[in-house]
Amino acid sequence: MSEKLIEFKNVTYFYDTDEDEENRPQPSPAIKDINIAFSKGEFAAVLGHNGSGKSTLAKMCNAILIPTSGEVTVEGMSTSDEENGDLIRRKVGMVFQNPDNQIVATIVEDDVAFGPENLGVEPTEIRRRVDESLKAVNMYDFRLKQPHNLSGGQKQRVAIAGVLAMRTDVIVLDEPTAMLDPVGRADVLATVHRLNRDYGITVIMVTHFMDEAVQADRVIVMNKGSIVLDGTPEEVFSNTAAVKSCGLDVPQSTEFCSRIGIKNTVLTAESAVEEIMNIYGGGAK
Amino acid sequence: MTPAVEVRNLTHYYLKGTENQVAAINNINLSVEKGETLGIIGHTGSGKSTLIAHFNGLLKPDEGEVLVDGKNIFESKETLRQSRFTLRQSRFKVGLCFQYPEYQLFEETVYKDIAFGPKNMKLPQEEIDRRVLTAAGMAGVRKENLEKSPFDLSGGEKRRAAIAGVMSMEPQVLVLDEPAAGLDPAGRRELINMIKNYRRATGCTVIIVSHSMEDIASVADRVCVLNKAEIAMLGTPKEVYTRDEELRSMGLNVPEITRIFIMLKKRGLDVPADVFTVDDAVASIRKLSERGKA
Amino acid sequence: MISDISIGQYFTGNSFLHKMDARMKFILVFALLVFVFLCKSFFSLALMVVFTVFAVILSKVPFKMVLKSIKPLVIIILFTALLNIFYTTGGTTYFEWHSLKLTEKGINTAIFMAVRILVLVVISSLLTYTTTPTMLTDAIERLLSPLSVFHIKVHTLAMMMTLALRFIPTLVEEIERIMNAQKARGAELETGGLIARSKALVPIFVPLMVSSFRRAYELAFAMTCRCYTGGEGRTRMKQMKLKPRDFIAAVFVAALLAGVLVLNHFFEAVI
Repeated sequence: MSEKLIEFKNVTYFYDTDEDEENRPQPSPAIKDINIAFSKGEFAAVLGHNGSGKSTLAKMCNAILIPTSGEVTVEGMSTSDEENGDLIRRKVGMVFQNPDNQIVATIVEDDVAFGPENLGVEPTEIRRRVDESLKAVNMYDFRLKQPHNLSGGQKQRVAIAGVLAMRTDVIVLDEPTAMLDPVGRADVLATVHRLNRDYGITVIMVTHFMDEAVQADRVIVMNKGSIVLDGTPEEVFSNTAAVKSCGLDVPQSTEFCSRIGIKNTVLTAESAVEEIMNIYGGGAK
Repeated sequence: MTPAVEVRNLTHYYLKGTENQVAAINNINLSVEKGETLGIIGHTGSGKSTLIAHFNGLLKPDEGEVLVDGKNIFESKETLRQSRFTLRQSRFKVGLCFQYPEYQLFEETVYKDIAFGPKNMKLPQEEIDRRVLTAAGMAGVRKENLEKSPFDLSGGEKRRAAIAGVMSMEPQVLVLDEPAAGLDPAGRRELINMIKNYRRATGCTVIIVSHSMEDIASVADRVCVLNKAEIAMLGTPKEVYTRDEELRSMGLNVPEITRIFIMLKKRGLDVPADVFTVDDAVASIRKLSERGKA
Repeated sequence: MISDISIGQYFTGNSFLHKMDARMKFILVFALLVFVFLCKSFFSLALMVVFTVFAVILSKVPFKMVLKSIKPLVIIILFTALLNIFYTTGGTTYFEWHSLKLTEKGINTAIFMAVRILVLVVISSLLTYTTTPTMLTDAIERLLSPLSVFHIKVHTLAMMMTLALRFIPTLVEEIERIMNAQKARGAELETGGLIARSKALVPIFVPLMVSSFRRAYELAFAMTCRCYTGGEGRTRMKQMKLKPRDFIAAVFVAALLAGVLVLNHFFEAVI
C-alpha cells in the first residue's frame, strides 16, 4: 500500500495567459507549491469547489499538463521529460467530465479498442481485453451499439472500459459524474469502486459530491491551489468548519451528528441512525 | 383563479409514426397556480424535458391541450406567439431556461446577451435597459461583468448571465431545467437562493425541473414526480418525500437527512418523517431529548 | 426531432453480405456501379435487377428499409424519366402536341433510365446497410494506403472521417438544443426575408462554433490520454482478412459481368 506511485514535489502551475495584454494583473497560480503522493491500490477523492485547482492536479498526473516549477513523477519517471509522456500515459489513464467528448468511435467496442490499438497490442489480445473490459463495467451487451444512443452514465462506463483495456495501473477521473443523473452516478461510482477492489487499480477521483468522497480511502480537499486537508473521510469531514470554508459541504449525516453533539465521524445515514438509536432508542419503547 | 399553466390529457410521442413509437409523456394532467413554485422531478427519460417544452409551445402535443393563463396556446398561430409573448402587454408569458443555458450565450457583451430577449419583444430602448439591469441584479450578474464578453466569465457567472437573459423578458412563468447542474455546492446554494429571491421580488410562478431532491425540497411549494411518462406523485414536499421507497424504486434519492429520519421513525423513535434540512433535524432531535428529560 | 437521423443507416445483421470483407464489398460495389452503366439492352439490365433483388434477399435487410432509401430520390428518378420521354425520339409515335412527341424510343429510354438509377441506389445503399461506418472508413483507409507513397496521410484522413461520423449526431442534437433555447428567448427563426433569416442564424451559429471548439479541444486531450500519436505503430482489433466468401462473391460478380456483356451483344441496345 505504501509504495509511492505518483508523487508531486513542490509543484506550482500557472495557466498560460496572453502576454500582450499588459494590463492583466499577474495571474495567480492554479496550483501552488503542492507536495503529495498517491500510493498503489488506494482510492483517493480530490474535493474542491470550481477553480480550486483540483482538475489541474488531475491533469498533471499523466503529463497532460506539465508543472511550471517542481516535479511530478510516475513510478520515478518525471512528467517534465517529454520522452516519458507516452510511457506515463500507459500507466495512468484518464476519464473526463463530458462523456460525449471522449468517445472516438461510432461503435462501442471500437471505442474501447482505441487505446490498445494505439499501444500496438496484438489484435487477438485487443479483442480479449475489449470483451473483458466491457464485462467489467457491465456494458458487454451494448458492445455493438452506437455511443450517441447511450445514456450519460453508460457512456462514462464505456470511457472507463476504454482506460481499463489499456491496462493502466492508475485511473484518474475528472468529475466523472458531474453531468449524470442519480442512477448514472451510482452506476459509475459502483463501477469505479469495483475496479479498485477487484482489479487493484489505483483510483484518483476528482469530484464535488461529498457522498462520493465518503466512500474513498482518502479524501484530499483543495482550495485556491493548495491542499487544505488530507486524510481519511472521517478525519476530513469531522473538520466541518474547514471543509465549509472551502465552499464545500460535509455529508448531511456528519453535520447533523456533530451538531446534536453525538460525534463528528459519522459518514453515512445508516451509522447516524445507529448512533442516535444508541442514545435515544432506549427511551422510545 | 385561472392557473398560470395547465395541461390537460397531454400526450406526446417520441419517434411518432415509426415502429419504435413511444409516449414520452402520457396523459398528463397538471395545473400550476399563479405565484406558486412547482418542482418537477424524475430520472432521465421520465419525460420532464418533453413536458416543459410544451409550456411555451416548442413542442406540439399529439393529444390534449396546453393552457397558458386560461388560453389554449395551440388554438391559432397568434395564440402560440402570445404564449411566448404578447406585444400589447409587452409581457412574456412563459420563459424557458434550458439545462446548461450558458451554451446559448452568443453576443459580444453580457449586456447585449441579456438584452437579446427584450429586443426580440421589440420593446423601447429605455425599457430594455431597465430590464437588463433589473434582471442582471436579480440573477447576481456583477455590474463590472456587463461589458465583458460572455465567454470570458467563469462557469458559474456564465450560468447566471444566461438565466438573466431569460429573466429579462419578465415572464409570468419562469421554467428552469436543471438550473444547478454541474455547479459545486457553493454555486448550487447561491443559485437556489437566487431563485428564492427572484420569487420573493417578482411574485411570479416558478417551475423547477431537477433530479436533486435536496434543491427542490428547499424551494418548492409542491412537487410533481414523473415516472415512465406519467405523473407518479403530486403534492407538497412532505407528502411526496415520505414515500421514500417508491421514490427510490423510480431511481430518485430522498435527501440523506430525510432518509435518516424515516429510518429512525421505523425503528420506533418518536420523530417526524418529513425532515428535509439539517436545521429541522437538529431542532426535532433537541425536542426529543427535552421530552426525554421531562 | 431532427436528432432521430441515423448516420450511415447501418442495419444490424449477420448475413453473408454483413460478413463480407468491407474492402471487397467496396470494390465489388464499385464494379457493379460500372456494370450498370455498361448495360445497353433491357435484358442485361434485367439481369442486373435480378442480381440486385438477389443481393437484397441475401443481405436480409427488409424490403421496407430498402424502399426508404429510394424515397428521397423519387423526384430525381421521375424527373430523369420525364426528360428522357420527351427528349429521345424514334420508333412509333404515340402522341404529339406541339413540339412534344411521345415515342416508343422515348418511353423505352425513360424506363431504362429510371430502372438504372433504382439499381444504382439500391446497390450502393446495400453497402451502407451491411457495413458499419467504422468498417467503411477502415476499408477506405486500407484501400487507399498505397497512396501514402505520395505522402498523402491516409490514416489522418480516415481518422477525420471517423470523428466526423461520430460527432454528427452529437452536433445535430446540439443545434436542436441551441435553436430551442433561442426560440424560447423570442428569436424568430422561420420568418422574414433572406437577410433577416441569415441574421437570425447568428445566435445559433456562434454558440455552436464555441461548443464545437470546446469539444474538439477536449477530444484532443482525451485522445492524447489514450496514447494516440497518429497512424504509426497502431494495430487494429478488427483485422480485415479475405475469406472464401469474399472470393465467391468476386467470382459471382465476374460471372455477372460476362452475362451483361453477352446479353448486350445478342440483344438490341436501348440507348
